[in-house]
Amino acid sequence: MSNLLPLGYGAWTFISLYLLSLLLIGWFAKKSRKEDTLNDFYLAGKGLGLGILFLTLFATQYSGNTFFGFTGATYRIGYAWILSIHFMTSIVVCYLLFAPKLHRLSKKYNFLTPADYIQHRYNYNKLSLIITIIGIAVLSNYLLAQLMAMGRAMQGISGDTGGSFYIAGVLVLATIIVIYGTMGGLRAVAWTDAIQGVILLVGFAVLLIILFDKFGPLSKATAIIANMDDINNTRKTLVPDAQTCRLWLSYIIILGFGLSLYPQAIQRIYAAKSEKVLKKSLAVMAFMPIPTMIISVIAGIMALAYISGLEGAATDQVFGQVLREVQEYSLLGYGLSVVILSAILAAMMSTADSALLTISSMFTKDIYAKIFKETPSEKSLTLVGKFCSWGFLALMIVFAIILKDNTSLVKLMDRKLDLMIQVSPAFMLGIHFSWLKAKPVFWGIICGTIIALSIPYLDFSFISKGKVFGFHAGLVGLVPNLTIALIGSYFERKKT
Amino acid sequence: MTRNNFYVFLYIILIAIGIPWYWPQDSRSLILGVPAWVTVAVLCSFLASCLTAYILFNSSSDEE
Repeated sequence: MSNLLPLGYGAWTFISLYLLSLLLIGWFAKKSRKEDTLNDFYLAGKGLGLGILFLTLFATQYSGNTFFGFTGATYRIGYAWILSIHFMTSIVVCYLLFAPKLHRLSKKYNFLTPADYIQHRYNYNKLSLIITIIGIAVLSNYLLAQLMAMGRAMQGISGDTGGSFYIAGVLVLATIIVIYGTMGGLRAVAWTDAIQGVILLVGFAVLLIILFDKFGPLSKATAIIANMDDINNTRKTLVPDAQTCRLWLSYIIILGFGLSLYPQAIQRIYAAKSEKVLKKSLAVMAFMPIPTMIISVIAGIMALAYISGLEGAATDQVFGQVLREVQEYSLLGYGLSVVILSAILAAMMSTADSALLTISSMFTKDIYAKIFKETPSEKSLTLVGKFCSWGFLALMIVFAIILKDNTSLVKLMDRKLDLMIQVSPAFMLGIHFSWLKAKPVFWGIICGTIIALSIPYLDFSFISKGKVFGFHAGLVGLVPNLTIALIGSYFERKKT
Repeated sequence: MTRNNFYVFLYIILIAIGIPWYWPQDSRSLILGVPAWVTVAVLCSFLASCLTAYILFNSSSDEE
């Protein structure tokens, strides 16, 4: 966002008021607490209604990446990025496989974390622990990426080139998140997510109107890009080749199965007021990829047609360029760009707050509480959870500042989908098939994880960018994972 | 074929049509100002969303 015009006092006041409103919501959420229990703090007393549940699912699923990454990707590969619409839809489709039944079980047995279900289903500590470790590792990466994105966003908004606004942005925004998160738990996070979700929706709608008003119809942009294709011998409007089609199929599977099992998503399944509310929220969520993805793609296509010359890493900044065009458009455009900037901050913060709260709950319930022979009281565990949030966030802030100019660690850890899909047999098969046994599932996850994490470092001609013939390493790891889980369970069943 | 298997079959069909592996590589036909294969992909995604909503509203629930 280094291409933005400097913001005036009015814009900063708007953004500051938005941030202050989050703290106010945290305070209201604290006042609305019914009891001092883990259930009330981490799952809002399992009473999230339709509107709040939908908006928190939406705000959590669509991060800052939806604006930056997706617009930049469209700029790089052209219309082929429209296929991202399928993988966002596949996430909701995969919820169908387990969410309603998991919700019913969570109500009956009072689950708090993903490992609670695993322990109830398999009664095998090692399996619960490995699922907790995978969950925390994935969410830490997610949280760190969001903190770094927040710092860069503040740096871009301020026009600062030195880096002091990056550090200030990380510190201020992360502190706001942890304050409202520890004041009101999931109630605060869900309520702030609802506001952030509304800002996101308004931001997307505003962007679409301005884009068409400024640049004209999509057909004109398509004709310009088609002409560029002919001159440069590129395929940005043409049908994707076979390799790209295979890659998309891989994305649809790995994102559907991986993202639907994110621990914060599972906790929202637990937190729904009723199964009916959960199903209605998911039904609305099923339609959200269409407007959000289409708008991201349209922004990228307009930029490709009218803002030429960006290459390599600079293409990730294309959304900043689009915003600058919007800012320069008119006074109204300037005002609306402030709403969009707030929407971007909202998207990052809502993703980060959910990840932080879930990490805190998993550490407190699945690791800390298990250390003691007698489980500590709910009140003291809630307090430990709050300290955990502060401590863990402090650690992540340090990482975000140290790694300011070095994204390699984030990229190194960016195997979260390859990891997350390894737990899918435990949840999605385990919930339907009682004959699936704990030990084979555990060894399947171990084997699948080792293979998925090793493949990107192997040097074979058929492995490119961590993918085998265009398929993600996680999907390749899932094959032995499933084989061990199914065949092992078959032999164990025969033995008994 | 059970109802659940039928739903899986429909999703597979929608993915198979939505990913443009079968389109001629040099196709330049347009629908609504965008490449035709893009419109087909969006339409398939919309149908998948409709099917998902239908399943969610019509699946049995222990609570009801």
